[in-house]
Amino acid sequence: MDAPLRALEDVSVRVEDRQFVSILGPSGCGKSSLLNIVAGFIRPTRGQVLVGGSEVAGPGRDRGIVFQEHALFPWMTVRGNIEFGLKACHVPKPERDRKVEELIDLVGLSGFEDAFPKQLSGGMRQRVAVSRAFATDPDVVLLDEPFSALDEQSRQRIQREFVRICQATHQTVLMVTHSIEESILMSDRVVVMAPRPGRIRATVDIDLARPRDDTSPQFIEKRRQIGALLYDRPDSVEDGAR
Amino acid sequence: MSRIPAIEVAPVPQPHARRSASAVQRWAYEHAEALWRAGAVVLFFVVWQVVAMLNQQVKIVNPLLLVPPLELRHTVVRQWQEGLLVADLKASLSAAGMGYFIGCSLGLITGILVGYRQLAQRLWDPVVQIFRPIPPLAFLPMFILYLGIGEMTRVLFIAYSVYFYTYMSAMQGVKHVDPLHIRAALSLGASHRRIFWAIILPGSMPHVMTGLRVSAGMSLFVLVAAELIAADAGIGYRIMWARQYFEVDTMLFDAFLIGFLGFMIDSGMRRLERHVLRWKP
Repeated sequence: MDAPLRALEDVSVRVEDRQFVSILGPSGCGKSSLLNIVAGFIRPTRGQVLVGGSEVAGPGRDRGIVFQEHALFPWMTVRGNIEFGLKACHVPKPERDRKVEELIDLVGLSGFEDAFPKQLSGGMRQRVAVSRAFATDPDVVLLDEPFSALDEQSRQRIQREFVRICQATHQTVLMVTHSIEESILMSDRVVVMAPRPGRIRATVDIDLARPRDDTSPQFIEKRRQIGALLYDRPDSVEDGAR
Repeated sequence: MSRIPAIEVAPVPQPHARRSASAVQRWAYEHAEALWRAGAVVLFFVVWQVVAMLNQQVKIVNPLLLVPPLELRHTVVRQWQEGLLVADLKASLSAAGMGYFIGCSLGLITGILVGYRQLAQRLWDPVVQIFRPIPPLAFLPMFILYLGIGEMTRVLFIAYSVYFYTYMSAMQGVKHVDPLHIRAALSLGASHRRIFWAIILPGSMPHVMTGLRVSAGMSLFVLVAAELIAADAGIGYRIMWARQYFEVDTMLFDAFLIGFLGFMIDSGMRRLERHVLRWKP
């Protein structure tokens, strides 16, 4: 019989209100498990997750989630997807309509309210997924490699837009990613994880002004620093940078 | 020496563009596949007609047994005038319709329940799996023994036969609902009741619709079988009846009538399926 695998060990992360924190690590470092624990899909064998001081016992609408493969309900229209959470908490129709319109405007999908997900591009689907997660005003939004399935151009655009939306709505965000650029571009703080067992190697504050320029010397310096941490090989910086 | 480019993409000028093609030619070109299909069917009937007419002269087989297809036009008129056509259609379609409705309703309800609740699965699925491999026709004599040869027998027999298809597809449908969708709904604060109605039911529709369509064809299939054996009206009964009077044209006509009904029902169900699943990629 296999011994039980230790996926995560001594992981402690604190996300301040209105902060954007990224968890960065190679595949197999347990970063997705960590996010699933925060989301309430997995019960940790030890330890606890507190959101706003109360302990997480299962999935709930205080934590909105944007999944890697958008996970939109394909049989619902864009509007249906976004208002699903609002209906679930019995928001009356006029308020629902106002909220949906506001969110659709925010992500630039006006005119697509009645489209089904299959009629949208990958980037548009992910925008709907973002709107859906924001609709119920969660305390924190959790992102699980949200833009990794998109093509380069869509990804760059939606990354910047997402940061803009988070700033505008003062949203607290916890994002899991394997992209160094993405973590530096978007977050206030990057938690670098190491695999087997999953643990935190270092935490790096990203104090660059927004909007960020990924060709600036400071950005490249951060990339070098985090790359070295991530790969634990300070001498091969070029590999570290993707 | 001029260099040849490694890759060059450019439109090739066409001296004989399709300018000369007439409207008819273009139409034929666009519908080539359908024309071929229609042509093959027409050819088949022409050959049949010619062979049957020749046989009427040389009598290789008894001409009563080899009916030329054009004869069937008299059959239609005769059956219509005698009122048999309407009576048979009514008897057959009402039995098939009621049986289909009862069988599908029970199949959907129990299939969804078994897919959704483990206790239901443990109690009911093994029983279904014992009966499922047995061809329903094997039970027809028992149905007749218990219920006689009235309409009730046919309705319940069709319901029984159709049940397994809808049951299996509904159960599979529920089991194949994407767990990611359920997680997403949970994280949006949906109750279990809402998840059942808004996620599990629509998510199982692709399987369910296939089951409903296959069941529709199946209901006609077993209807005729039941009518051949246990009926006093209906299309299958008419075929059996015509055998006793050597009316091969009636037997042929009613067989084609069933084929036509099956085709209409299937294409109707396909349209319904496309509409219900219009969200499907």
